[in-house]
Amino acid sequence: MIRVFGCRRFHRLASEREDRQLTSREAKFFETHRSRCADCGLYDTQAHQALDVLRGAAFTEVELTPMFDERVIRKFRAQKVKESLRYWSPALAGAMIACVAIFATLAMVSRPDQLKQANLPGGSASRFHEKSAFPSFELSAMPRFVR
Amino acid sequence: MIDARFISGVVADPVAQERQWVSRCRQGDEIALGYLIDRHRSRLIRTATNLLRDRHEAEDVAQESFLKAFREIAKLRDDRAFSGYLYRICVRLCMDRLRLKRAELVEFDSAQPHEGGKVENRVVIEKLLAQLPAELRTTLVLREMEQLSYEEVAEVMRVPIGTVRSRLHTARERFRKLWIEAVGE
Ligand SMILES: [Zn+2]
Repeated sequence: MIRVFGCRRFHRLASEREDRQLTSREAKFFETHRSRCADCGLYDTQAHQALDVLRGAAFTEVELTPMFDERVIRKFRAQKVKESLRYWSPALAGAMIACVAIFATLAMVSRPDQLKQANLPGGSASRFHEKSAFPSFELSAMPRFVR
Repeated sequence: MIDARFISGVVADPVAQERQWVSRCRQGDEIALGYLIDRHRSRLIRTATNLLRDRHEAEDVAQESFLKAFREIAKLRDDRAFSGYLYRICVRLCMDRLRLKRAELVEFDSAQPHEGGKVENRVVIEKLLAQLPAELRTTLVLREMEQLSYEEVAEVMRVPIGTVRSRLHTARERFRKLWIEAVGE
């Protein structure tokens, strides 16, 4: 087989010929080379054939499955809900923690039996608290003029 | 605000109409959403089918593209760019899937030349395309099957035109070799 100078250029032009019109100089080179180089002639035929088959295998029209639009819209709605949940979730989590804390406090306050004994009235925690005597009311102790 | 032309039912310019739908869509109007889906779905599914060679997967990708585009519609600076934006998302999602897929290397029986029926051709083409890297495959399909210009391919794939040219040349050359091996010439 005879290798002719310019095969690479021929291959490049063979590809570009699919997309644009070659200049007269390029076209002349192409035809001359093709007639002299058997390899490149075969290459060009094969390249053409392969591209024809490729183009022929293209889907030009596709049948839609029913309800395609509805499915997209439904998913879009679900996506919006998910996004708003994601947006509000930190605030919701904060509010839930606050609620739990409030309930826990209320529960503890409303059940004094579970408090430490020392903290109950009369417990050791009240030892520094001076008990003030309640004033007594005895009529006999009152001065006569008040009575 | 809705353009008076659409209320009166006189729709002059499809580009203006689409711009209107996009801006309504941004405000959460589901009717506009429906219009946009209706307008672009066929092209999106067809392109995805040509790229992935699987109709069901193509529908999934088209659906995903719409959802992504609607989710990010606020980021779109120019409402007229929606169509290109959506198409680009679809091609990119297809490329992601192609990269994930393992190319199945299929050995063809060269003793039995391939008959060349349309359906059979499609199967063979699918197997040959599976052996090309995602970038080459996408460039080849967009140019040869979707018949996009170099500029359009460059825009969709976000690469310079020179890159499209060289990728296309390489892709054609590899495809030719694969085809010759397949038909056993
Ligand atoms: Zn040559």
